[in-house]
Amino acid sequence: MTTMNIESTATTPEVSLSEDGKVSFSGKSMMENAIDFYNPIHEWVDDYVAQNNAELELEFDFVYFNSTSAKQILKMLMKLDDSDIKCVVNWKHPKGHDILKFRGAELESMLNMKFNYVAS
Amino acid sequence: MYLELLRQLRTTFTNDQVSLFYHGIFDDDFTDKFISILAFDSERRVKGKMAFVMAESFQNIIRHRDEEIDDDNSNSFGIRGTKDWMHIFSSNLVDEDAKRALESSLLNINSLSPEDLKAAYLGILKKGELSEKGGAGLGLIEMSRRSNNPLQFEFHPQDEGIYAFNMQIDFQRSLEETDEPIIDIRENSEINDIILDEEILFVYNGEFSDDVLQPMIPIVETNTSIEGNVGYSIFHIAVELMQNIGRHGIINENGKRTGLFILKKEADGYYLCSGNYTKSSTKDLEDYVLDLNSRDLDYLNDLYKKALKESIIKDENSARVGLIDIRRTANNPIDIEVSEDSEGTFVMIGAKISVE
Repeated sequence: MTTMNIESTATTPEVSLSEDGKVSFSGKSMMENAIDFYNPIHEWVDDYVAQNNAELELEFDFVYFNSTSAKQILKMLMKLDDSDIKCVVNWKHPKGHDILKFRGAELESMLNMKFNYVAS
Repeated sequence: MYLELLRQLRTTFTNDQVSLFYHGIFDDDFTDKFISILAFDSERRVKGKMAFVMAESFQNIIRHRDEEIDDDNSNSFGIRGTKDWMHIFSSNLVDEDAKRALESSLLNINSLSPEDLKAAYLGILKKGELSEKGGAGLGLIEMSRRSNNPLQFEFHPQDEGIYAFNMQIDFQRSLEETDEPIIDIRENSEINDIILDEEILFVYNGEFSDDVLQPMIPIVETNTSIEGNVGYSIFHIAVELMQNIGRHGIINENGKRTGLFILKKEADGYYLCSGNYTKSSTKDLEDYVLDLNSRDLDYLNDLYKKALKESIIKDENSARVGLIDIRRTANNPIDIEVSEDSEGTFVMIGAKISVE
């Protein structure tokens, strides 16, 4: 189990996956091939689930994500949902930005975990 | 229904490998972005010259814009690349004095031999005879020298004493001899009239990949610079339509997925549409979209969630998730048209975003 940091680009978000149980995504996630980008993240989550029982704190601070990224984010959260790991999800969105908040609530409604919404 | 417009431009661009017309905000930062979008295969020697002329044409529009006669945006910039040629087109308003000066310079430049052009260029440099706005005379000579072809130009009368100055620079992309004809400026002036009349901010025909999308997205963003939810919706539909081409388009003989994208301004919003040959199944696609169009937002949101979850469980990359997303994000009916020809199945999709 290692800590993994991915720097942001024009189309990919900054990602931090820390072995002490903190995960964060920020920026734009709008790559054409989301599978390639998110596969190492899925692998990290698989390892975390296999090796830990500790709580995982996830922070999402997207300014934009496309539909293929939505699929990969949901896939990751569904994996965690099916595990015994307790997740704390903080979903950040710009103040007054209903769509980004709605997109978070939409993901939450497909899962059995609770999201905290933080307007910034 | 503006898919007719897409169909018309598609027909016009049939023989083009790449085409782009721009009638949005002219920002210096976009010069490099246009060069990146059009960074396709050409001989290295030609590529450098083309980048220079593209930058010069684009910046000329910014540099020489006369706000007294152009209070609305009447400028445009276009590029069309065929197998052997690259045509760089620009249009901006000028007054009677500027028309006279330009006409005389251009007629003179076109009458000079390469040697005379070089001498004229060096002569101006030596005398330091640069115009107030940064040396248009020198720029024209340099563009002519680099293109190695006469500069095509036209003046179209507008209001009294005002003219649209249309200019086109033609480059041979290949180094071998070609019998492919140069596109006449009149053809591009006609396209330009459509661009201006229909308030098309941006039309692009060519390869769609992340490399092309990256410089294109900031251009779309700047031209629809609306904060919050509406801005997000326009941005989202632009990304989804463009990536749809990259994901579901067929690979052409050059190994690229190609298509068309249009961003159009309307009095009460924006219209975005795309068209491409597809490798995905289009069976019942039109009926599917008609059904989506008849549904309310709550139904569409539920349908999206079901389709998204199903695509994870079945591990498939269905275009229908994207369609539902476009339909609900636009909150307006989607236009769709599927047609067959000898090349395959061509799909056109369009959606309007209303701005209050």
